[in-house]
Amino acid sequence: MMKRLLAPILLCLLTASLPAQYEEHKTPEQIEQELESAEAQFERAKKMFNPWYTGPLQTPGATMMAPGWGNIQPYLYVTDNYARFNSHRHSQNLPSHLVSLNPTTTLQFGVTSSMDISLGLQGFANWQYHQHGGGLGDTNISVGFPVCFQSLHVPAIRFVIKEIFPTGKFEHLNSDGLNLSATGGGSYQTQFSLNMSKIMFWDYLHPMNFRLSFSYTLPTCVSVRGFNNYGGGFGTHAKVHPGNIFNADMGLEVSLTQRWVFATDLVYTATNRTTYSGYAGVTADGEPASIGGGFNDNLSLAPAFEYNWNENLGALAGFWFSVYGRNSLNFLSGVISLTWTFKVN
Amino acid sequence: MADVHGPNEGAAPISRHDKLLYEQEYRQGVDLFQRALSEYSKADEVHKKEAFHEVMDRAMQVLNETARELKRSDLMEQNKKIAQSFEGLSNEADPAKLAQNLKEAKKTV
Repeated sequence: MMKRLLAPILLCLLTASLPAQYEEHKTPEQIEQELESAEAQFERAKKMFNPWYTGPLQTPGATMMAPGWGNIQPYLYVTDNYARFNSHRHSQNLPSHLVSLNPTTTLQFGVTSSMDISLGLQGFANWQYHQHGGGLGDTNISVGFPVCFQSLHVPAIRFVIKEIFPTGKFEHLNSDGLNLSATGGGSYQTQFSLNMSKIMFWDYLHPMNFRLSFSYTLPTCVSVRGFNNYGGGFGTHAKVHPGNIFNADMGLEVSLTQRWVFATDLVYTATNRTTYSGYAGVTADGEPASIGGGFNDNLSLAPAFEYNWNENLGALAGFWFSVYGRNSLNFLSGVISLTWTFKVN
Repeated sequence: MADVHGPNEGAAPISRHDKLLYEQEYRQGVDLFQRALSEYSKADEVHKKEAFHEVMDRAMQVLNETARELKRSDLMEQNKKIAQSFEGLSNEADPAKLAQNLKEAKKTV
């Protein structure tokens, strides 16, 4: 029995050891073919370029800002919220579209080789039912730390802690209930993110940049009075417990040329139910007002084109639209952005 | 147990025509290696460097195959030197030594 088992094992070992001793004979024609193939690879490799990317519309990057360098990236979102996904994930048209203009700017600076800092500012202008409102939104400051730097086979990984400050208006809103002046959440929010990115040269002339980001946001409780971003009405006096937010983004950039890049994002956001304690108030009809809401989520796509003048200056424009959701808005946004990286000192 | 022989051991010597072809291919291999090394040294992007490294790998294979078919121990010896300095290149060794070895290989054939 033992001999029966040993025979095939020995045969396998012998076969495996043969290539080391037995070098295959190559004809001049075969070697000529190898040379031609290597020569073709050499010519393709010569055409390779250092890819320039602005980053896709949504998924944050994992590259650290070098010390002594800064970056400014303003965005402009024009959003048409034309419907709403209900709790059964059915899209139901809004009687009047909620149109929103949302300019944002991010300023990022490299502090040390293992830390960078960003400041995010934004504003809103909203229109619905021939009414309008808006103002300064919430502000955020984030600090990024490298987990690992990108190399040939390893992606860049960056850990970011972001603090969102409630600089936007969130309470004492107009009693029409449209909440067009609501531009913030009213709570301090701490967000933890892990961002990854990796450039791949599967095709020498069309490199790709993959990005992946996961974040989790923990908002603090917020005291609200009157009509507020979470609902409410006349006489509202309550404490709101906003739901925690989970976010997963996947981004892909494909270089068409060094300057032109196609980019797309797949964005998923899920927010836990928002609850409250206290008095919810009454509506204009005298009905009890509501505050908060159930679990909501949204899946969206953001295809765009980038144009890069050089490695430090680029622009991108595209669309961002929802495809699936629950208790969330069904929207279509047009987005433009400019990014400029500059030397500070 | 029977001895394992390479295909050329005891085989008829290669024809003059094939010998000339193998020598020409050896020179072409060295030439390609030199050009890839030059581009590798200039490249500042890791993926581009890797692409030229792959080309040098393939050129090294051509050098080994042609030297073996020619059964020239001097070329095999030269290839060994090239392979050693090529290996050092991955550890950021000075490419000048590799360039010198390639230059000598061209003269050898």
